[in-house]
Amino acid sequence: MTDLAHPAWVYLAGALLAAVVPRRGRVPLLLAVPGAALALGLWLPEGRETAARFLGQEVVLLRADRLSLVFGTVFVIMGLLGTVFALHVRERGPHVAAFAYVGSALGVVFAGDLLTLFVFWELMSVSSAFLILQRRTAKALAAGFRYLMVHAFGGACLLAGLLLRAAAGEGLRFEAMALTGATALILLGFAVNAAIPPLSAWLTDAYPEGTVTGSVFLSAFTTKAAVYALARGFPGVELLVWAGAVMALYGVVFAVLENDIRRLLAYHIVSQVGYMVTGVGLGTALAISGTAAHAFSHILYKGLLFMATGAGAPGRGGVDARHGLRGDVPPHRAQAPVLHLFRGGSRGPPAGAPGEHAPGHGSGGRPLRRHRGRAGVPLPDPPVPGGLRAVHRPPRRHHPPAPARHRGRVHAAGAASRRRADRDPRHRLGVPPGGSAPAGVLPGVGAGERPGDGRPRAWDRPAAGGSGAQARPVAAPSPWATGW
Amino acid sequence: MTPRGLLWIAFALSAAVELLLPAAETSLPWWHRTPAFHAAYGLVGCMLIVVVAKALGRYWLQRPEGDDD
Repeated sequence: MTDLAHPAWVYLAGALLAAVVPRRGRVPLLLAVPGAALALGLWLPEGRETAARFLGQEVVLLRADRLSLVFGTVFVIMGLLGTVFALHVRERGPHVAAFAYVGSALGVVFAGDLLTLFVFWELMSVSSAFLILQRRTAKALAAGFRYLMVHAFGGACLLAGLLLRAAAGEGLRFEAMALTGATALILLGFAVNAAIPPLSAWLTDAYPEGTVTGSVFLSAFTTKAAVYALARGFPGVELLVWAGAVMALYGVVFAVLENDIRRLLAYHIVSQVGYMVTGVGLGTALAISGTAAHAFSHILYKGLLFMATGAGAPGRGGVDARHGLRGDVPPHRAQAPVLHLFRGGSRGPPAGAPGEHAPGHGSGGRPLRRHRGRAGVPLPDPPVPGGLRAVHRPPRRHHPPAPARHRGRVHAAGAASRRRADRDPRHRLGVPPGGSAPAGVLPGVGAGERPGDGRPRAWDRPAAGGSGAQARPVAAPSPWATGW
Repeated sequence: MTPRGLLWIAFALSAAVELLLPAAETSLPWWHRTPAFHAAYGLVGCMLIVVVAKALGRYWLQRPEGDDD
């Protein structure tokens, strides 16, 4: 029975349940599913493999080695934090999509063969698209459709590559692969999801258009699952070093130039994934360990940033990095340092700037002074005590209708429900960031052996045969070397 | 304590650690073991990124204000 234990099954079953459970039972379900998956992910013993036969092929549904366990661990942590952040959302759809998305991402990192990987890969693409589409604005629908098309292309490349590989009798085991025609297609499929330029436009197009809670999930899973797939399948491929270096610079240049804060963060994802792709391209034990450690922290801090900036942008046009909050909700205390960074320490928005509270708009026409601290950041109201209770029972406050500048919405009912869901988002900034920030410190303070400590490791050996062009490291059975 | 104050304290502490506890790894080149090398390298690197990115934006990537084509 324990051989069937797989965190992905928990999330996928949770997605089915979330589609039918009535509203009264939804919050317990939303806490139980990621909680159970977290317990299961942390409990999974290293070395476990679960195989089954499917369509005449042996498929490895679960392979828990040190590399997959690192990514699996941070995925179950982020799944819990993201779900708690989204607890207040009343619609079923976002929860179903988020659970299916997290479950399929876990399926990808624990997949031991290419067929299993492909099935979860496609499920991940489709479910994540709904996190964008459910924002129901014209821009979100268009971006979500483009997102689907790009990922359909990536998935088709992956499928073609694995079929060619199977036809050539090379097997479907998901391990380090020499670069051939078939595996080049697989690499292209991974590159789409890793947002390697020129295949990166989907990310900065779609992530800022996702729902506030959906973008928190989006920032964590798709690109990092692709980084895992690259680290597993193509460590030491020199092309990735160059591609990653281009990503790192391309992403940061556009992030510096960007004013919409969620798009800025999306460009920053491209930049940071560039470091990871470079590490995979280097392919040594130290580089792969650094890649995994960076991915671990990046998932947590980027999720935290999307929580902070998304909560400050309650569906009212985002946060403009030049002027601070563009919406009308004073930020939570936890947001203030983040907003300070993006505002360059300015003393509040200039008169007439989007962040300024206009009469009859914003906080009900109340005087600005009442909400302004010394440094120009509006002060929060007294914090609501009560931990989780405060998370899903926000204080009711008055909000006026959306201003005329948001005329791009298509479905009035959808926009109304989105406004309901996004009402007063400050309450979200309690438990999830409180868990995300300390968890992000884990890789840095973890005891145990450190990468590059001089001890010989199996994956430092050059591959026997390989592509012939260069000595590539063998697929690491346990490339994560820090051992925390 | 304002958020800005917290950020300045964190910044000062990071710089102090860099200055007082340089890397002890003997396999690294000498400049990596120079006190505050990484702080200075990071600061100059970030400034360069901002300046170069802004210049690229101004002269190549961005359209001028008011150009809504």
